[in-house]
Amino acid sequence: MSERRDRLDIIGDILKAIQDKGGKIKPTHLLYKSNLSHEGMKRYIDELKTKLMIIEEEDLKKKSRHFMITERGLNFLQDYKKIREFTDSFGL
Amino acid sequence: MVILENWAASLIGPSWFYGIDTIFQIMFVIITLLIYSLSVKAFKFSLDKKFKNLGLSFFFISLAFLILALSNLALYSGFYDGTVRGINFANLFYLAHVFFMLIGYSVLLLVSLKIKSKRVALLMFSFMLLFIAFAFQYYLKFHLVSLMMLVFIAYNFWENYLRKHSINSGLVFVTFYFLTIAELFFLCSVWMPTLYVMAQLMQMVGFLSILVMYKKVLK
Repeated sequence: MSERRDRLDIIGDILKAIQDKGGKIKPTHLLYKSNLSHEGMKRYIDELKTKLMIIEEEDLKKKSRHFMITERGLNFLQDYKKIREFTDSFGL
Repeated sequence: MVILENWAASLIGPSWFYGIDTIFQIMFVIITLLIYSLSVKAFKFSLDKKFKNLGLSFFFISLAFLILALSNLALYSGFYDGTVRGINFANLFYLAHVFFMLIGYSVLLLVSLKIKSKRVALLMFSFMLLFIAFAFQYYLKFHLVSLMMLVFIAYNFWENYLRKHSINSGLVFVTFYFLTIAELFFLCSVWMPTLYVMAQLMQMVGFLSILVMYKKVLK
């Protein structure tokens, strides 16, 4: 059974999902990839937007929305991976 | 040197090793401080208390080695002979080393076993303080208690390695495995001083393993 994800893991998973899709992802794909409820995801997305880790892009012609990872988001993801590795080393 | 060999509890090894062990201890200070700094970075990043406590444990271990290294350095260099106005400062410093080392191991044990109860932590620290307050033959008792705690810590990291199967978790286990073995050698060095050298070497292998882990995490 997988361990319960903490706040940091969820943020890491969201950013990684965007990065894995080439830095740009549709909200429906992100909802599927992040394994969160709609409300839960909205809360995290708002936080990440406020912290300028992601930006929302709207295509009026195609009537579609995308989330894009920013430089700050990429830096956070890099630090997160290091911290995760450190945590796993000690089993914390 | 004859005086040194007799009264300072920390000076248990062969006299030709005096000074070399201090270099080792200074290296242990640096390595444990690096792990402390990484823990602080992780705490600032995540605001998770477990990193603060992990950092605290390595800080105490670092402080313990620093006190021992400076105390021994003062003795080896002839700065003083251990006593000032009738007070045996060398043994007081050794007691401080024991205190901070045991506090460090205790915090590490609480963190690695994920014990969050403040009462359990308080009970553990109370036992530790009682041990310090009423202990004689510091050297033997200190290494015996350290051995017991390190067995638990190492076993916990072994279980973590079995779960994660990563090189870094293996390196953390190797660190505490060698630190545990070192305690056995420290205990036996009372009867055979050469084993003190082996104990220091085991500690060095242990701390170098955690240094490799540190480098791998930051690469």
